[in-house]
Amino acid sequence: MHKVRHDPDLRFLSFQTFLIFALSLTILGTTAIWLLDHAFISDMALNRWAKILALMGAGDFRLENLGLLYPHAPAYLLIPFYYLPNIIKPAAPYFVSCIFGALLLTIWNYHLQEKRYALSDRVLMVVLVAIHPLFLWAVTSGVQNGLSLVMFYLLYLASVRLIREADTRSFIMLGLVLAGYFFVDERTFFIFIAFLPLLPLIAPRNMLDASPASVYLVITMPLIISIIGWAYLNLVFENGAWHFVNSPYASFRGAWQKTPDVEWLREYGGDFLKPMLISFAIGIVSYPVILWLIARARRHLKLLRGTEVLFVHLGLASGFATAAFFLSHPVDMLFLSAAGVMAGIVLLPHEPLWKRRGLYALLLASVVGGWLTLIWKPTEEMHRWIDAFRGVQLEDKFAGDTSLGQWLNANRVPTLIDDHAAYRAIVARGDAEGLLLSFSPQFKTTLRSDHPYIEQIAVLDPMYSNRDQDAHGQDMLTQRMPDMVTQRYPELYRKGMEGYRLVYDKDHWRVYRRVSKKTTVTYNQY
Amino acid sequence: MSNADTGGVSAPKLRVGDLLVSKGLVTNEQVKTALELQAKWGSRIGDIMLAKGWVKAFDFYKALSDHFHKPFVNLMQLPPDVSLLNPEDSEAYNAMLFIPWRREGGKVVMATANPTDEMLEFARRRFGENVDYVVTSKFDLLWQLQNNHDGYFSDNAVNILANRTPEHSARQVFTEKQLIVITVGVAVFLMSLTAWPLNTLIAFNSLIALFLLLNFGLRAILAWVGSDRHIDVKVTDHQVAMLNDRDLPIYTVLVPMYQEEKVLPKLAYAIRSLDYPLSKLDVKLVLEEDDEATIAAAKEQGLESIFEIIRVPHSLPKTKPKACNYALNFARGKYVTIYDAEDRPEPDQLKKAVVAFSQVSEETVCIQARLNYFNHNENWLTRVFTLEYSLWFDFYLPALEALNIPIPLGGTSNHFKMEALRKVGAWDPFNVTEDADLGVRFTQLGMHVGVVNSTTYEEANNHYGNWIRQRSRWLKGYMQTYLVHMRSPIKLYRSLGPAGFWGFQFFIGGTVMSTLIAPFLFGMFFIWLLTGSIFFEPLFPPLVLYISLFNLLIGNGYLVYLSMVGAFKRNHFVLMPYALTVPVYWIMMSLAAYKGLWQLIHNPFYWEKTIHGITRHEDHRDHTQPVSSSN
Repeated sequence: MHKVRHDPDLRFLSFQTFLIFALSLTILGTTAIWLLDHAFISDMALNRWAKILALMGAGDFRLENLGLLYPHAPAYLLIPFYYLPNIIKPAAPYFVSCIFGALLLTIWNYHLQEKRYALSDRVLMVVLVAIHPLFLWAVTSGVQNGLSLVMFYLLYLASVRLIREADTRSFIMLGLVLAGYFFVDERTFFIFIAFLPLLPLIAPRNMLDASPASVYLVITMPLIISIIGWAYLNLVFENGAWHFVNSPYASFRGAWQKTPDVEWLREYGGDFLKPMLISFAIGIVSYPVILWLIARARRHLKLLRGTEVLFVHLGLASGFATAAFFLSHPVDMLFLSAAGVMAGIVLLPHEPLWKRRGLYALLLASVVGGWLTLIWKPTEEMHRWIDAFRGVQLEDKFAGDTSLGQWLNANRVPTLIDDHAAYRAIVARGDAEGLLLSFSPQFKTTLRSDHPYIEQIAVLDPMYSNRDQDAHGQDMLTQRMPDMVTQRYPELYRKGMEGYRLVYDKDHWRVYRRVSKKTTVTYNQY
Repeated sequence: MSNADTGGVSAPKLRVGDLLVSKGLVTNEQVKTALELQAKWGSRIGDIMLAKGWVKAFDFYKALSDHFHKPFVNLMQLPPDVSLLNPEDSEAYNAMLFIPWRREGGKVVMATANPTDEMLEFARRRFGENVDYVVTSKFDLLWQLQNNHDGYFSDNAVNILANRTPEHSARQVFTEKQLIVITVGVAVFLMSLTAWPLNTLIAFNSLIALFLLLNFGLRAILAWVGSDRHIDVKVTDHQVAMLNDRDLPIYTVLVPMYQEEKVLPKLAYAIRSLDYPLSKLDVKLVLEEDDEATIAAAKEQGLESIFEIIRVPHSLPKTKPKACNYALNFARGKYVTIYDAEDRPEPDQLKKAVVAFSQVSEETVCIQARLNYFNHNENWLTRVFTLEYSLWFDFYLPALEALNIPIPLGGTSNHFKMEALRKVGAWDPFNVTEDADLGVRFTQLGMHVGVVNSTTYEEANNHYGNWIRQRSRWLKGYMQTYLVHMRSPIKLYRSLGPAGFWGFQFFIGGTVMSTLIAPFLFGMFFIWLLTGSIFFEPLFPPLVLYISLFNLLIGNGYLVYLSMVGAFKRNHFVLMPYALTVPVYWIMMSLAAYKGLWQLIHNPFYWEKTIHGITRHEDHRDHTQPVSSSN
């Protein structure tokens, strides 16, 4: 085994660290700004940012108002951005993701430095990884996958430690990373399931011989605690312990609800073997450098096993996630290969110059391969991202929502509105102050009445469907369902309501404002 | 008496071994073996033969008197002139194995089991040039010392710490200042509760939530630090093998026992099995004088001369630390350790401690070995008890050492430098967890405690009532320790530093507080769970609710996990699933904590005796044969 020789003078906080961080952030930040400038807007980013606005705009600060249907850690990271100027605020999900992407590259640089790679080599490797399209897509698409990449890298570092040290801390690290991952990324469950059969490749043989169940238990337990804890919170704050997987809005179910509209799931959903093999193939095309890593590790059995895990893990996870109708596109899982490759390079001994050239060539080939996989059957969201990346100015898909948000901003009166349907409008409004949103007691109280007593009600056209896309590039089912206001008052959009007059009607939104009791205002009168 | 007249103890012409053979007391073969061991151990041949039990002590010392051409006296029949004995010199009497016996023919005669020039020099300094000596048995000497000075030794055992540093003694449970602070605190709380009931309860609840959060935080840090494989003083087998037995010092082993006569054969076996030259072991069986059964059993065993019976006279408080303090008066080792009667230390533990002391700084005065249980799989209680101990000794204690937080020593297998132990006044006889208190006191006095990678296997309590008794004593002792060291918090902060101070607050204080609070929190939780009551909701504003939920789910969840990891590290794989039941164990701890609290107020120095030797765990070893190769 090649152990890392720790240089006592080596410090994480150094000028070189700052340099690499600045370089990485520049690459990623510039890309994100370029995309935003070309009107690439992630619907998921809007959704998450709207939740922050709703949380901070509510009368009392309650984290449960964020909803428990998706991992919370990325949302918490957005909270500080609420206090920034309005113009920067909506870009927060992109910035946070870029910061974590840059942080990951910086940590990796430190680990390369420990392996005694020169600064020039490290800069080159960092750039080659950073410009990989899957890495760029993950970090700059507004879904905060930068944080997920960091967690995946930590998972592999823990695995590397397990291979090298095989001590108790390695197992604890693995367990804790998986437990923490659950609060960062919905994919954790599949990443975990795919990891289990590979564990014998990296866990110490004597322990597995003595008690394989114990090895699995010690790694699994923290994740189980996380899931039980989350289920308990759902029991306390939502409609039951398993609300976070049963709800139609649950992102823990991935693309399951949209299966008919997802090409990948239509073709392979419920199947395991085929999607897994295809994912392997896509993984190799997008990261051929993995083959190099395996070839380089072949002389060291433990290294080889570790690298094989890297090769197999995400393909396996894609297979599981597709079988469970979770995954809408293999790239949504395989982008994590970037972190795996980084960990794989750290796992290997320091490469001599001529072999380093081979590594660089393969990293460069990976960039090309990455583009090939990204343009292979891209989802709508991917397609827009690629166009924006190429410099195409995209059209505003959500002009109706933007318009409503701006109108609500100009007409600030207490308004009943379903945030599941109106999150884009909330973002356009800039805050949620004065809005009665679905989680608030006033919203629930108001909906109990046949004749609500509220200043203003905003309602979405129940027939509206604009093919909105989520981060997985699929139509949002939330937009196919009537919003909660319509569910309670089915005729409101069409006919209005006694005691209310129509004050806004544009695209697919209408707003009714309360008038005196005797006045009956209908759509026709407006 | 010519040797003494000429100023020293001259070497006789006939060697002791030959003399013993000529008297038919030992065989030539035994002498040959003893000579080999002498070359290896560097001990005197007589000590080796006594340690091996090849010759009876009485016969040996009689032969020794012939060897030195001095009379042999039986001190039981010819007791010393007590006017010659000076209690202040008892340490020297014990160290050099002599006492001033009588005045005869114008000379002051010493009775000794170890004629040396050093002894005579000491005698001359006390009684002038005209001194002489006779030979007697070591056991007669010890008996006489105890018999004549028991008041002095007893007083020392009880009061030396309280007299020397009263601020470190638990003799006074609450100081006046502490009573004032507690009274004022309770009064302010009650007044506030009357004036602003809800806000007061919310504030109180917030403090509890925050406290538990920090308490969990500390334990998480400790577990993380403790999981480092390089955390404790690692002594390798190679280092142990490289030790030269000749260089090893005398090692005192204190074994306090009470009504544990059944365990004696196992204890003797465990001691004999230690990989340490027997002739350099100074084993004290510390027995209460009213424990006639154990005293009789010890005599019947016919134990080798390394085992000395120390009879502790009755005095209050009747506690283990007082007994150990008493026995310490007779200890002759450079190092001293304590084992319980049922303990099974790993054979090389003493050697590892010697190596560890040589590796650490001079300020390190105590090395704690790890404790675990041999009957871990006996019933549910022993299983979860083992989980707790594995976490405690394999993770927490090494981490406390690494973070420079006071280590509450375990009850046994702590190895001390004798000099330092005596310097700090040894154990506090009024503290029922004297070991934990001593660890904190060491740190407060600028001394360090280390942890070594050697394990002593004990008997886990397998009986619920017995466990409650034991745990109530431990928690009462923790309360005593906390109160003692918090008499002057500023001084404590200055002496321990921020890490040590806060570590002490949460590790010692936190252990007690969390066990006292737990029933209320669990009670609220289960009432809510079963009834869906909203009665408690006002007490949990959002932030408090989130912290409480974190404590409930993540905090408790990870404490359960850590118990699991403890078993994993120990290779107690079969115990891992039982970690899920640890919360039940916590409730039992709360019961014990309240019992301890009650006793702290009503009977603070009462020693809740743990009954040992009740395990059904079968020990199939032959207790008549040692296992260690070197012995």
